[in-house]
Order: sequence, then structure tokens, then C-alpha cells
Amino acid sequence: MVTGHPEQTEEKMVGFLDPRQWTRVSSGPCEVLWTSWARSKWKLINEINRFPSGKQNLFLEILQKRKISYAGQVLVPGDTCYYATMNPEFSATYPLDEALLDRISACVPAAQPDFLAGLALSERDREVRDLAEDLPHFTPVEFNILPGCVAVKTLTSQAELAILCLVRDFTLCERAPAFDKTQLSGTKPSMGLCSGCHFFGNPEAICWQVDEGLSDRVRQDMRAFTRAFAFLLDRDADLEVLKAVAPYVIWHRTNPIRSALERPPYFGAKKLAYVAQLVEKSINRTMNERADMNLLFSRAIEGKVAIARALEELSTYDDPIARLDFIPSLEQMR
Amino acid sequence: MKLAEFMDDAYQGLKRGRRLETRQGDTIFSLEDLADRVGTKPSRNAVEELVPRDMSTLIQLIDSDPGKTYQLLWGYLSSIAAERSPEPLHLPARDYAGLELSSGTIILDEAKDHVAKDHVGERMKGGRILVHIGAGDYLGQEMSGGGIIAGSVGDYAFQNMRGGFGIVQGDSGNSLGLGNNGGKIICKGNCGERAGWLMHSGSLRVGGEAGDYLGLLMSGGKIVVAGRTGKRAGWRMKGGTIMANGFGPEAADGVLGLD
Repeated sequence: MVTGHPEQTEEKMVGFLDPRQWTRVSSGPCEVLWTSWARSKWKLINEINRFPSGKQNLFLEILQKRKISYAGQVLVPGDTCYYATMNPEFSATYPLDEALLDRISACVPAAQPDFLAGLALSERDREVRDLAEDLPHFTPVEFNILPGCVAVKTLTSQAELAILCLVRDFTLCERAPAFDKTQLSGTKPSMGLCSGCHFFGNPEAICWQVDEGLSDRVRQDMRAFTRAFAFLLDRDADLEVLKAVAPYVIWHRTNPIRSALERPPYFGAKKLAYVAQLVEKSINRTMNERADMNLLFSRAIEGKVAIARALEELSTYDDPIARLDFIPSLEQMR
Repeated sequence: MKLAEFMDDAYQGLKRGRRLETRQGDTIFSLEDLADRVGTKPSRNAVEELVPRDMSTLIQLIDSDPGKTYQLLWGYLSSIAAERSPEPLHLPARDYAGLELSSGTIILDEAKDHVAKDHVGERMKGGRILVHIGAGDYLGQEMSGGGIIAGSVGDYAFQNMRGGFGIVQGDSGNSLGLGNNGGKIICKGNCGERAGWLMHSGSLRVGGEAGDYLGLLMSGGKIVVAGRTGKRAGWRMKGGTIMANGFGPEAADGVLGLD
């Protein structure tokens, strides 16, 4: 475990040059003494938001390249699980970089124990750490076969489609370059980008309600977590699992606009609940209202429907995906 | 799997959807909330699309103080509320009350700060506005229908009026009926300078006396003053009629006496 604070350094976290090598006669490549954290396949980053912005970039590189480099030496720890903890914003914390947040697959709030849990904790006869030993856990063999077990779980077509539409619902923006909100810099919906837009104020449209678009990592994470939870719950990787999982994959990567989030029942505080209702709205819309337009688009792509006719039909749908995704794609094919 | 097969598989057994509809089921909780969606200088249509359907929520919005920032929004809301109300709507006097009103009646009571409010009844197309006390500047500006009755008015009342009527029970400020293209204005008291300036059509009747430059550059319409006018009545007028009981110095040649 490494703990965040402004004086934390790369040497303390990752490793340092072995000083003994300078007294040896024989020369060779630099030797690095990697820390146990660097070598571990379970990495815990405690209080991640106490790392100053510049030092957060270190994790960006580790998560992106899946390897750790120092003094010209590279350590490849293999498949690694990263966990990070953080408190809400305090006076000594730093805002987390958006790119780093995008590389965090899922974010789960940890609330204080409730009444009964508090009672149980106060009545316990052993320390929590000792009690944790009694929890069931995987053997190394079981743990290693987990990825294979999850891999055989396939998403239902509905879940696949809902994930695609969900990502596009959050990402499409009529006023962004290439209709892609991830390309915005400087301006965003909360800064008046959407004022006067056709979709602005429409509760069914998600585009104007959040500042950030979703990257393809979100699609990958939603697929992976839906399959993993389906395996864990021993059920199909279907829409219900997706609805449960998706908010935790999305909420830390996006910022809903203040005016929407501050309305009851969210009162500016329940960001996860707000994102969950956006997810629910998108999935319900895809399943209940987008059937015609999605089927029409798919048939036009495969040449079963004339593109001109499909364009004419799709232009009657008041939907960001139809207008900003399907129609431009078909126009390029024409 | 091909795209069409994938879609067929995804929608298998599901009821085909209805067409997507927008702007339904949303609730506006405050003027700030409304401004976040339509801006602070919206069109009436934009406001009307989002305005709460139930009257109690609408009245709650109107009861809130718009300040200077949301006064246009409040003006539209006051008109929409009056149009929906089966009875005359009592409101505290505020700027832009009855903005683009098309039907119904608004009765403006005295403002808490006792200051006459501006732009009341601007661009109204129908209905009635009764201002118990005095109105400020720009009363009934660009109105094309309906009627306004006010105790007194400030400057530029009924400017660019195209229809409807306006009655001022007391005195009026300067530039009454500037650039009028229609409608009727009756001022029972005195009016200030340049009343009927650039008037093209319509009528202006003044019960008391008129200030200087009455009917300046007017090209049509009719002005009748029961008392005397100030100097240069009808100065450079190109058409229309000015009648008064007496004229000050340098009145135009074409002006007429009432008798």
C-alpha cells in the first residue's frame, strides 16, 4: 500500500537504485530495488487525492502501460488489481485529474456503518482484521481461473446494445467537434454550451445534463463488470446486471450540471443516484423507444433498405443518436 | 454477427417503440431553474414549453422575486398565468408584467418599494392590464392589441403601438405614443413634450394640456388636445391631424382649433 501525501516520491513507491552496485567491480545494467508495492499484483493506493496533481501522473503511466519503469529498468507485474481510496474534498486534498479518473474502472462509495453494523462492531470480541480472516477467500488456483470463468460469460444482445447507446447518449453533443463531447476543452454544458440547443432542457436527452463524454474505456469497463457480476451472481449478463453496474462505472467520470443535480431529490449531493437515473433512462429508452430507428439503421447499413429512405425516416426521430450518429454515417455511405 | 441480426436479436419479443418525444414531464422549481434551461432573455415559446402545467406551481414561481436578472422570465410567466386564470390575476407591480399578454386580465397592485414599474404590458396582443397606481416608462410599448388602464405613466408610454388601446387617468410623461402605427391612446390629464412624435396612424386624445413639439414629424393619425399645446405643435408634420383648444407659439400651419 502506498499512501498519498505531497512529500511522497517515486522512489518511495516504486523502487530505487541499488547503492551496492556502485562498489562492485563488474559493470552492467543499473539494478533497481523494486518495492513490494511495485511487485505486488494487488496494489492499494491509499488517499489518492492527497497526491498533488503532478504526482498523480505517475499512476496514469502505470495504469496506461501496465508496467512500471524506473531508471531505464522496466518491471512488468502482470495482471494487477488496483484499488484506491479517497476521502471527500478536504482542505489538504487535491482534485483528481480527469484522465486518471477515466482509468479508474469503477468507484464505490463507502458509507459509515449503519445502526446494526455499529452495534455488531461494538460487541465484537476480536479485532476487525482478525474477523476478516474468517471471510471466505479464493485459493490462488481459484483466483487464477477467475478471468477464464468470466470470459465464458457473454453479454446478451440487449445488454451489448444498451451499452453502446448508453455511451453515445453521454458522449454525443450537437455543438462539439465531431459531435463528440470528449473533444471539448474550455467550454462545456455547465458553462452555457447548450443554451438554445434543441435538446437542452429535454429531460429525455442526456447530452446536456453532464459535462463530460464517455471514452471507450467506459464501454470496456461496463462490459467487463457486467460479465463479472453475472458470473458472481450466477445469472445471465443481462440488462438488470448492467443497470446495477453501470452507474458505478460512470459516476466518477462525469459531472452533472449544477442546476440539474441541485434539484430535488438530489439536492446537489446525490451524484451517484442522479447518474443512476440517467443510466436507467438511457437503457429504458433504448429498449422501449429506439427499436424502430435502430432496426431501420441496421437494415440501411446492410443494404436491405434504401439509404435515402432510411435518411428520410431517421430525420423524423428526435433523438441525438439518430441525428448525430446514424444520419451522418448513412450520409457518408451515400 | 451482422448488424441487422444483432438488432433483431436485441429487440426480439419486445414491443416496438413509440416515436421519441421531447420536453415532457419536466418540472421547473424556480426562476433560476427556468433560466438555466432557456436563458435570461428567451422567447415566449421557449418559456411556454417548460412552464408548469398546474396553476399552483406557476403561482409559486410568480410569487418569487425575479430581481433584475429574471424579470423577463417573470414577465412571461405573469402573462401565461393571466391567460390561464379564469379570474383577473392580482400581481404586485414589477417590470415587464404582462409581457406579450394575449388574453386574460392582470391587475397590478402597488409595488412594495412604491416605485412605478417599467415595461408593463410590453408587446401585448390582447387581454387587459389595470395599473391601480402609476406606471413607469415604456408602458404598453409595441403593443398590438388589448388594453391598458393606468393611473399615470412615465416617459415613452405606448411607443410604437400598433393596436389596442391605452387609457391614462392622470398625467403622462414625455414622448407619449412615439412612432405609433395604430391603436388609441387617451390621456385624461396633461402630457409632456413630444407626444405623438413620428406618429403614422392611430389616435391620441389628451384631456388636459400638451407639452412642446406635439405631433413632431407626424405623418398620419389624429391628435386631439382639450387644453392648450406647448410651442411648435405639429413641427415639420407631413400628414395627419392635430386639433387643440389653443396652440403655443410657432405652431404648424395645418393645425386646427377645436371649435
